[in-house]
Formats: sequence, structure tokens, C-alpha cells
Amino acid sequence: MAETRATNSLFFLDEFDLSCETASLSTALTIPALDTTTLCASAMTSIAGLPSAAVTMAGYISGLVAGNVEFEMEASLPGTGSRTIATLYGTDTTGCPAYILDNAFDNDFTTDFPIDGILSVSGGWMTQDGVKRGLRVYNGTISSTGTQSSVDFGAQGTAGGKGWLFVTAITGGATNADIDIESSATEGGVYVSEGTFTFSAVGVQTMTLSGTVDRWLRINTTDLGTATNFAVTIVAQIAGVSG
Amino acid sequence: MAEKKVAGNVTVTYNANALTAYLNTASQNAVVNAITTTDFSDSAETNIAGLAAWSVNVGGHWDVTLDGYLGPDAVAPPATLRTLAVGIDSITYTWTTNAFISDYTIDASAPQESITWSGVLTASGAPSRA
Repeated sequence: MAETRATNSLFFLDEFDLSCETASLSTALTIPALDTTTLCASAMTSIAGLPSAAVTMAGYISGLVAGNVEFEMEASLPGTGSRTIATLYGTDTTGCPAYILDNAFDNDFTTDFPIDGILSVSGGWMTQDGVKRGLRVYNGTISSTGTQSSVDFGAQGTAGGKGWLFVTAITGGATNADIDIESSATEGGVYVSEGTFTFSAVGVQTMTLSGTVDRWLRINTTDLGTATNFAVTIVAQIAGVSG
Repeated sequence: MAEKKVAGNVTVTYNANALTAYLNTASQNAVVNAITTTDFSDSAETNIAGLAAWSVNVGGHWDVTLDGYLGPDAVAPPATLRTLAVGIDSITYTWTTNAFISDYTIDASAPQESITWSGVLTASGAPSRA
């Protein structure tokens, strides 16, 4: 059995990687069983209903400014704007799965003040949209243009998909930096651009992938936008393939 | 009587993917609803059997390969349900294209431990037992 350390998990709230303030992280996916039992049945029958997802976390308050977990959780309460939540597991594998809640809102926000303990925070998020499952295509610091290694999604998709870019840091200032997501039918084959992220600041962006997306995906930085380097995490979803 | 240990004697296969190596807990449940037939003439509650609802609770240590088996179905249930087979020693319960994962949780709740998972494989209808 291949076990995976819990420390190989990541928790993004928008562009903020809050893993170092998180002690517990869980992603729950639920599909109700819709009863289809009829008078001729010999046992209860059902079909799958609509999926839903919930992310819960618990952690420690180590700061109270933007980028800290308490600040960002308060800022994701309903009425304060929707956020993007991403949970990644098995991050010791490049193409690890990522569960993404777009248009997410905080449905539980608790700060705890035990007399003999540590300032703690816990909460949960739900999404106004459906949960998506993608694979991480890249994670690291980019300091030059060019391509990165590709990730195998296992199969081609024909119904498009989605991409997410988390820009966590920029050195030197970026102006219209460009990163393409490219796909190919074979590893090392002919890669075709599926779309471009253009950014000038830290933040999170999404991109729709259209039509056929081949099974091998990679990123190609075509323009640093005057930046010396930037730290990014990129996730892609092929609809009907990765989830 | 020859008791049998669980390890090595239980297998679970979902959509032709073996989950066995990712399991450290599993139970197969057939919950039969009791139809109460008690009337004024009875001296105790009486029932007849209704229909069985089948499900398989599973869980264990998580990894990326396992997530590839279950994750896509957990976010987008398949139009055609999956085949589920539960092997217990020499017999196998099988639901052919009649199962789906209805709960799937990935849990990294203890930084010093491994990631764990749990799920419910909901089966539609009665299985074959062979």
C-alpha cells in the first residue's frame, strides 16, 4: 500500500497558501442516492443524484492581516465576495489531484480562545457552483520563458475543461505575463495551446478550456512580463476525464 | 469452525479497479426495512420484511492512484453506474453496472499521520452471489 503523508496536502484560499496555518483539512464529496424502487423490485434501487462538496479546516491564528487564515476566512463570509478554494492532496506527486470550489463562501467560521491553549480557528466552505476535480500541472517558481514537464491525465476529453492559476508571489513586478496551458496526444509530441493566463499581480485566475483537450498537459511561459520570477501553482481539469 | 482473518480474504473492486490495497476498513450492509404489521389482536409487535438496501462502507489510507479511481465519479456521477464486486473468501457479491460512490471524504486531519479516506459505495438492487 502506498500511503501518503498528511503533510503532502495544500490548502489555497484564492492565491493564499494557508497550509502553514492549517492543522486539519478535509474534503467531503456527497452524492445522494435517489430512490427508484418500484413494485417489481427485489431490493431497493437507486440512482446517483447531484454531487455536492464541503471543505473543512482547522488551524492556528499566526497573524491577523491579509494572507493570514483568520483575515481571509472573515473575508469569505457571505456578502463579502466569493472566493476560490482549492485542496490538493498527495503533493509529493506532480500531477496530484486538486478539488476546487469556485464561487465558494464560508459557511462556518469559528475562532476559539481556550484559556490554556492556542488561538485557533476552524471553518468550512461550500460552493455556489459544482465542485471540480483537476490535476496539478505545475507548482514552483518560474524565472525564464519556456515549457515545463507535462502531466498525464489518462485520456483525451472532448468537452473542454477549466484551468486555474494561483500566483502566490512576484519578484520584480510583472506586466502582462503570459502562461499557456498546452495539450498533446503523446508525451513530448505536438503541443497545442488551450488558452493563456495573462496576469500582472498576485491573485487567482480561471480559464475555460474548449472542445478537445488531449491527455498530456503542460504549461508554457511565453512572457515573464518584466518579472524576475514568479511563484505559481496551476491546476487543469479535463471535463469528463479528471472530474 | 475455521475462522478466517480479514486480511487476505476480502476484496473490493469498483469499476474494474481494485480498492483492496487501499482499505483497512470495510463493511457490507444489507439493511432490510421492517414493515410493521402489528394489530389490536397481537400480544407483541409483528413485522414482515420489506426490501433490502445494499451499501458498502469503505475506508483506509489514501493515495493519488486511489483518488484517480474514485474522485472523478465523486464529482460527476457516471450516467451508467459502475460494477461493484465484494469478495469474501471464496464467494463474491456483484452488482453489475449498479453501483456508485455516494460519499467520498479525503481527510488530512493529523499532520503527523497519513491522509485517510472513507466512502460509501451505494448499490442499486440485489447482488448476485457466486
